[in-house]
Amino acid sequence: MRSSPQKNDLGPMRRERLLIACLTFTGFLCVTLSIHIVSILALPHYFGDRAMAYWSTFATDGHPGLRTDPPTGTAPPFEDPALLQGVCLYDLASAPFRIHATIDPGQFTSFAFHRPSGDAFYAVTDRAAQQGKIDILLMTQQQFDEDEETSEESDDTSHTSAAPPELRLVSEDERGFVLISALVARPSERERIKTWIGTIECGKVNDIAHDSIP
Amino acid sequence: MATFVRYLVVLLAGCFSGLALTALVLELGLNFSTVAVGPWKDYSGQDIHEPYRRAALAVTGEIPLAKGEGTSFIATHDSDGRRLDPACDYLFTGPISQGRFWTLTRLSTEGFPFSDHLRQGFTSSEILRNNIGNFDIILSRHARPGNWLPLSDAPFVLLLRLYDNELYTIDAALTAPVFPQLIRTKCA
Repeated sequence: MRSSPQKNDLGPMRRERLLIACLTFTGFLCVTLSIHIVSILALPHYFGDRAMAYWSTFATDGHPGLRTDPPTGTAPPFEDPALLQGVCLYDLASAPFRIHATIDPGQFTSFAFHRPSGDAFYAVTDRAAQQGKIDILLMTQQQFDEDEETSEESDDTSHTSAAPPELRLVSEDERGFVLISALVARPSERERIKTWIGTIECGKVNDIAHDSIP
Repeated sequence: MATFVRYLVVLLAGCFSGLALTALVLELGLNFSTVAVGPWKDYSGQDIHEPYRRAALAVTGEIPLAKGEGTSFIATHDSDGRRLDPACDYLFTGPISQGRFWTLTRLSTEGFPFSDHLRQGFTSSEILRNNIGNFDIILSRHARPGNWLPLSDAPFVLLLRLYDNELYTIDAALTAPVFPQLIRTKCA
């Protein structure tokens, strides 16, 4: 007679255990997914400057620093070994940054402007050259506004130079890097292109005058 | 006390498996970029806001092609969906009309150049074409006439880069006929 209620109690106990197991597993899944989502979103902040740290090692003053080739195991993956790449670092804290290149006709070259995180905020290729030259002035919003004011106040006749107009870009960051990539279409052109990249000028605006290069 | 221990175990196990899942996703290169044409999956930086892609780029320090530079695609399988196998020969054939220049490069499955002394890839300027301007590239471990991209014994992937193109404006219109095919011809 007493065994009957005991048997009836096993049902609720099992249900309770099953409920606890389900809740535990649901909690485990929630924690797993939360940690996964947070870690995926946090990684770009945690490793944010890895690209800039890598490219900074090649930077030189005044001209693009060429990456030693070929890319080794320490280089980032999925790169094109047919590209010769040089890097210029910019720091807009004290002055705008200028890049000046006399384009080699038919030579594919790109100029990509990157934030410290590696995100590109602007890119242009040699097809954007005017009169065979690429002239880009990179500045902060404040420097851009000051430059605009100065331009409005100055005499119009002072802007009749024969030099091609320069492209002015506004950067959200004071620091970053410009990646200059030239395609080596044939292996025999590699040394010539290396030399040509060395003729590109980049640096603070005061060091590289817009009209100084023929 | 038992309840507290259970909570703690669930929390720690969840943290561990969450981080393990993140590591696995990065290892497998999983991302939800949707642009793919035949065996070619978009590998440029135009879908940079996709969180898994952003995380992978941050960890490797990789700089994808920027919008305005061109577009890159990666192939890990042939046109019939079979994983690329160095024991097999492949025919890279079909039009590549969107780029001003293009390059085709063989890379390790981790994305690095091989250290062997074989040709790493072709640029559009190096290709031998027939009298009507078409071309094929043969990928094989054994020497082949024409455009031969030698393979080693190591597993590989192919990187196709189209420089100076406007593909990002017509992603939705990409169709297989305007893209090269990777046809497995025979296996050793």
